[in-house]
Amino acid sequence: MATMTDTYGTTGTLTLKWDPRNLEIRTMSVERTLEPLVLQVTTLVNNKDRDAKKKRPGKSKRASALVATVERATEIFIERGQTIAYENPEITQQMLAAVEEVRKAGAAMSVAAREFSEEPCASLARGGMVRAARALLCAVTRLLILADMVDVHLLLGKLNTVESDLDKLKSASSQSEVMELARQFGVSANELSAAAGKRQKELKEPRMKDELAAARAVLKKHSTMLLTASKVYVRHPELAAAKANRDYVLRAVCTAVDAIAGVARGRAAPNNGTNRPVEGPG
Amino acid sequence: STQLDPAQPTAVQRLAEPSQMLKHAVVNLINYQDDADLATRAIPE
Repeated sequence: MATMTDTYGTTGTLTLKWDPRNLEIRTMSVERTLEPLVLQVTTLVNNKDRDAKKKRPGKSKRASALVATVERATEIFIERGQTIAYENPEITQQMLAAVEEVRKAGAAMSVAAREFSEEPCASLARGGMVRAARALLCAVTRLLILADMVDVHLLLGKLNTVESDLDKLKSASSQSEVMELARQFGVSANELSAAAGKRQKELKEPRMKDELAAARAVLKKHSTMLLTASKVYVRHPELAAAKANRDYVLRAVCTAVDAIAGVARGRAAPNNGTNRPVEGPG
Repeated sequence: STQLDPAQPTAVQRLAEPSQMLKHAVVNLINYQDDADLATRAIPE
C-alpha cells in the first residue's frame, strides 16, 4: 500500500511528503473510497474466495465497454481534481502534479485494460492490469489526501480569523467597539464552527470527533456570553469580578479554538481534562 | 449555528463521487476475469 506523511500549513504553502509505505487516512470519505478498491486489488492478487467473486456485478458487460467506463471515470476524476487545484492557489502546483500522475496512471491502466480485454484469459495481461490498477489507486490516493489537506488548510484559515478577532475583542475599550468586534467574531466563529462540523462528520477517530463536537458546543455557548461579559468589563473595568468573568469566557473560547486546531492538525488533546473549561464564573 | 451546509461540499467530498465511479469501473473490469475464467472452464475441449 502507499506511504505518505503530510504537513498542514496554517498559512503559506502546503507541503506533502509522499511515502507509499506509511499511509495514514484520517477521513471517512477517503477511506470509503479507497478501502474496497484496495480489497479488490488484493483479492485479485490472492485469487481466493471465488464464491464471493461470483456474486459481484459486471458479468454481462463486454470488456471494451468496461474499459471505456474506467477511462471516462478517470477523466471525470481528473477534471474535478483540476478544478479544486485552481481554486486553491497555495496548493495548485502540487495538486496539478498529482492530477498529472492520475492522468499517467489512468493512461497506463487504459492500455493494460485494453490488452486484458483482448485476452481475458492470459495471465500476463491480467498481471499487467493488476499492476496498472495498483498504480492508479496510488495516484488517486495521493490526490484525495491532497484534497484533504486543502480542507484542513481552509479550516485553519478560518481558525486564524477567529483568533485574530478574539485578540481585537480582548483589547476593545468602548461599548461600540465591543459591539462591532463581537459581531465580527460571531460571523467568523459561525464559519469556523460550520467548517469544523464538516470535519467532525468526516473524521474516523471517535475521540477526535468528540473533541470537535465539544469545542463547537463551547464556541456556540460562549459566543453570546463573551459579548455580555466584554460589555460589562468595558463599562466597569475597575471591578475585579467583571474582569475575571470576561477572562473566563475568553479562556473557554480560546481553549475551544485550540482544540479545533489540534484536531485539524491530527493531534487530539491529552485526555486529562485540562482542555475542558472548568466550572467558574459565567 | 451547528447546522452543516450541504451546498458547500469539502474538496474531499467533491472528489468522493468520481472516486467511487472510478472504483466501481475498475472493480467491474476486474470481475470480467471471472467471466473469462468461467467461460474457459465451461467450454469443452
